[in-house]
Amino acid sequence: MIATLLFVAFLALLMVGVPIGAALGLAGAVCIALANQDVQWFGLLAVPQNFYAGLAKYPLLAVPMFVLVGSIFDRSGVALRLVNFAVAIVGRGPGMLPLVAIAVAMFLGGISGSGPANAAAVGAVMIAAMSRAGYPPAFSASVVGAAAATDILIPPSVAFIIYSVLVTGASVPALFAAGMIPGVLAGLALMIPAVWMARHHKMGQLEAQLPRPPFWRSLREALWGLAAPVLILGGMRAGWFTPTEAAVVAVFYGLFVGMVVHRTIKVRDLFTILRESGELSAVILLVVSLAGIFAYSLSTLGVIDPVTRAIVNSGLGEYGVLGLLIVLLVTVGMFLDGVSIFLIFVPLLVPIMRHYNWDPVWFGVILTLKVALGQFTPPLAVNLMVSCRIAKVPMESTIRWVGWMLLSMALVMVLVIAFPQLALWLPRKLGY
Amino acid sequence: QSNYKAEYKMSLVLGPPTPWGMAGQIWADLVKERTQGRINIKLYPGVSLVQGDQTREFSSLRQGVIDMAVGSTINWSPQIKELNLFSLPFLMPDYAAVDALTQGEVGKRIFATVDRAGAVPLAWGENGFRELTNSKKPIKSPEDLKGMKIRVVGSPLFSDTFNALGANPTQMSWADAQPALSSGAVDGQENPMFLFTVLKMHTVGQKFVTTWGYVADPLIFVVNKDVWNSWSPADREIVRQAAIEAGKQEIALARKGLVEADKPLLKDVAGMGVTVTTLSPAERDAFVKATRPVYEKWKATIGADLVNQAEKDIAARKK
Amino acid sequence: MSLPELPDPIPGEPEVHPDEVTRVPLAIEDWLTVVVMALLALITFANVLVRYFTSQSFAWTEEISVFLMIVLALVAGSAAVARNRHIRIEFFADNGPEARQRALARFGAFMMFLFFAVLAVLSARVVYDDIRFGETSPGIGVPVWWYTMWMPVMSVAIAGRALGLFIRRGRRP
Ligand code: NA
Ligand code: NA
Repeated sequence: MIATLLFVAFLALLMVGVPIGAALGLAGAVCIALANQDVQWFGLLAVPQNFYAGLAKYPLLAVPMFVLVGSIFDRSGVALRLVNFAVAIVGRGPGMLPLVAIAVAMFLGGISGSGPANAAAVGAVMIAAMSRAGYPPAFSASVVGAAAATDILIPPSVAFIIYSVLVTGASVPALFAAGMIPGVLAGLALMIPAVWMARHHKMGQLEAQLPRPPFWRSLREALWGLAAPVLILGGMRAGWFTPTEAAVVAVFYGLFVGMVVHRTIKVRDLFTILRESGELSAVILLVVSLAGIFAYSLSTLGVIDPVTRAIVNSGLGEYGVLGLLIVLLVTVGMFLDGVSIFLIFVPLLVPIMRHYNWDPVWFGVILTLKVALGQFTPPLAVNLMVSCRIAKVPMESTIRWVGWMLLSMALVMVLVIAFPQLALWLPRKLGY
Repeated sequence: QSNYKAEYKMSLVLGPPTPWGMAGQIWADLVKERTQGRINIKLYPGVSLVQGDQTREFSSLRQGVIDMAVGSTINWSPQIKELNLFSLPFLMPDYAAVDALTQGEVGKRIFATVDRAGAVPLAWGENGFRELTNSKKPIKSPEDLKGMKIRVVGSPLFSDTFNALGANPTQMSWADAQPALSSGAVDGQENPMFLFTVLKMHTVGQKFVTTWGYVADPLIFVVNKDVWNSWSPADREIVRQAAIEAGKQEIALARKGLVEADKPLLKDVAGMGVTVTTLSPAERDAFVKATRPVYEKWKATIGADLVNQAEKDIAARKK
Repeated sequence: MSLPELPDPIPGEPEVHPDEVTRVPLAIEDWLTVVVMALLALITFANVLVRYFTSQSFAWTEEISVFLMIVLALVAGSAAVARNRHIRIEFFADNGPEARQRALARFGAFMMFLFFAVLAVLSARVVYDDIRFGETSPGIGVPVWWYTMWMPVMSVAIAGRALGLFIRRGRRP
């Protein structure tokens, strides 16, 4: 009864546009009070205790730091030089610029931890370049938005950090390693339809006339950017630093490159960078901590066990249940962003995961793949929102192009479901 | 009895099948059976009622967020400074010393303190002696520990102890510690031996164990005061008795393999390719000496009276 | 990760939504946010450097960093309330008749106010307990209320910002 109220109240608040944090907190608090009428203060002291405890987790510190990394590398001039270098390698030809956009987004994915930050960095360089070469802006926005979705799969990733805080037995390094191969596969999977569509519709006809940057000079200029993922991922692997420390090392490295080497960041930009990444982090962190109140309510109302039992006894079988979950999450993902999906659904899904003995790391990769797809599935597609704004096109205009890329990346998800080793081989190999 | 809850929330750090988890399970089962289902208890391992924050468990219990708990003296020391007694380095030389404290005058005084701090203490359990493990080399002296990064749990006393030994203590949850250990960012950790096998620590590179027994953390079975007062006197007695019996059974489980003359648990650990180092009395003394200033400093914080009583009871223990 | 609101302006482009005028300047939260973010980065970086050059680490930094992160969440979260940047489903609330849009915007702001007003009271009670029972922090051993007292203070600030948004959304455009 109270459990039904919990969901109905939460969904109603959410639908009418109440911020998700307040919806989670209020629905949770009301249900705690109803269930604890004989307890001092109606058991509501669980609200501040869970709010504080939900935030007071050292691993979460990696979230603001990786958001800051994204914001710094956005402005560091690294993306432009990576693009030049990539063009120098692949040359000028039909469909080469979309290929470069995806490759650079994947590479930046090895530095940044969030999709929209990646879309902003790649979009700022690529969308204009693709326009000059004759690609329609809506297509460019679609490619950039989809390519940036590989960011949360390729380590480092804010999504994996939050998942690991929610699920015991899935460590950040293991998840980071597990996201690598699926992330690269997702990027490759996007390249196929992107290049094919470009050639089929004869886009980018002007590209061949544009100059090809000289290889060695563009390599030298791109070196600072090329070294960044080596420093971040290699440093974590070598045990030099924890994920949080890796993020901070990347912050100072990015500042050095942006302020001293490329001189694209001025001292006064620091205020904006720190303020904006601070605000974005706070928005994420507040949902994390308020979801803790909702989760407390969920687990003490005893709804998780019956729901789990009903699902696993539904006769759908293991893969039927997994398919159902994905359909459910894709639907929810049309309206809700990835962090919120994790925070609301992971507590509900973990018992099902445990029932089927699914590997928590593998399951985290599947969920993150789903979230990545959601980042460029309209209507709520955060990456497209960024890239469409840069391209100055409405999001509806991308629907024509993103469909094939969604399908192609969804096939990668099917592959990872069918062959869990695609996710699990690397972490095992590295000993996590 | 309309004010009985349909279900009571019990917080634990570890779930079954660890001895700690079994303590909660046995207690809950006994209570349910003997009250004919009037008191139903659901286990919440991993301190999931406060998002896994072990150090907020006790305040949450006092505030009614948690109804009952089997908690470690280390985790509750931020709220009850007297509980640091059990973390004084090398206070308790053997299991008889632990029993002399928990079952004697010291145990009574600590229960009175827990009661003043806002919860009803019922019985003692045991997490066990905490042994040192690392990935580098056998540790026989404080010199061997020098510069090693050791993961410790959340009390400033532990940082002081490891700093005094020349090590480099870092505080982190177990979830962080696991990858830190396997990647070599952290060299070692300290925990009861049963956890070594349960958590398969040899797979995260912990190849060396030193059984120095520097501290042992007992567990305490507690109930929230309002919840306690809502029960009939007969039910309270059932809950108390059940806690005492569960505590006895749990202590036996926690010591299994370590009290027998040939210590089969250590043999099992050695069988995993782990080097187990046992200290000679002279070697142990070097550690005792190095940590003595920490002991003296914290004796004042904990209360000299209580520590003196503990020292007296340990000296007089039956071996 | 993903948020409905754009994280930052595209480099070289002016900000799309200039801040609305607020009675209490947003610069308070903004400066605090900048200082806390900078401190978080500097403390963690210093820890890495010190550890690698001296093989020592400050055990206390973890506790301070976690505290600063909570301050960040609340302070920058307060600015995000005034700027209406919190994650929400905009699909129904930001479409349709303008009167309905305004009513829903006011309702959302009021719910935000309500939650943080309640949190202010409840967390004040927790702080009272922390003081009354002399709780100390697990890392450094200082009184816990030094950290927790900021929770009710900043919850009041957030509630105030939400109330401000509620009032602004009530005005005729
Ligand atoms: Na990434
Ligand atoms: Na979407």
